[in-house]
Amino acid sequence: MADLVAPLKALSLKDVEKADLSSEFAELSSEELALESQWLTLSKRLPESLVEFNDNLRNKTYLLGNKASIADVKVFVKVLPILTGKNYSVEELAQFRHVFRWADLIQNSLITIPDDMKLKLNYDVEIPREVK
Amino acid sequence: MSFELFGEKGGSILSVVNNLKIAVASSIFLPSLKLKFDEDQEKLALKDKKSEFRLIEPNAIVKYLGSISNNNTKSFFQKSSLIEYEESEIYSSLVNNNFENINFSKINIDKVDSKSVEQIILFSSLYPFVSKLNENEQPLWFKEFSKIPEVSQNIALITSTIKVERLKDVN
Repeated sequence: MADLVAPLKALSLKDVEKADLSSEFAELSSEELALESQWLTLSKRLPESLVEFNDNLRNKTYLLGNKASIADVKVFVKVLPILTGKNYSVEELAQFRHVFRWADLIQNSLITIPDDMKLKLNYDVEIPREVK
Repeated sequence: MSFELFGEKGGSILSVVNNLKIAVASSIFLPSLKLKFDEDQEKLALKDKKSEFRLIEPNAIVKYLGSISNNNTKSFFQKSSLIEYEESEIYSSLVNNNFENINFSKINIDKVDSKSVEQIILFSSLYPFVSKLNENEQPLWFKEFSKIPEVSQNIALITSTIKVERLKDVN
């Protein structure tokens, strides 16, 4: 995992948009390619599709499951501007809690982002338990 | 196969398009998989009963059905400028019920191919608009594609199942 993550740490957000990252991640199966296709398509329909992203991430660490993929990087680049620059209420944080958790993971593991562009989350906020 | 395919209910043009995409794709690539409309399943989905694998986006479902019917061939997921156009301009036209900006010169298809995911996706997306044109105004490719039995049967099925709510015309 560390081998996969290390090269991406050197990339800026602009580099991520331009670079061919396919060699940085493991090859995807047909199921994973379908999921990647799905999330890339839905990332063109933000912020409406945030609900679908949140539902998907409810029981997954990354978009395609438990391993990071190129889809996480490509979708993160589109989600970040939607999420940043706002003061979220507790209700909003609760509604999209899994998207916030995932975005925070990506910006602290797969991509290096300047501090002023990062999604800033208050980890001390008490969010009500999720009703499943 | 342990898949289930659910159509989306609702009366929008987009519902017709999305259901048509997955109905045609399943008829062509996996005829044993029948599209269902279930009381408990409001939204469109392809589900594997034996795992947690689930797709909710119609273009991804079309590509996946194409891939698994061809020994998991990955070429079905290759980048396509036609699908890019469908997912941006045509999708926007469908959402806004305004087809004035559709540029047919960007949809250059010479030969009808029922097993092309591009053609299944484009035909379904253009159907609400092009089917209303006079026959002599319809692209030749569109007219030929609509005659494929798996396509014409599913047009009849979807248009009889989904009743599109009347929308205000956009001036």
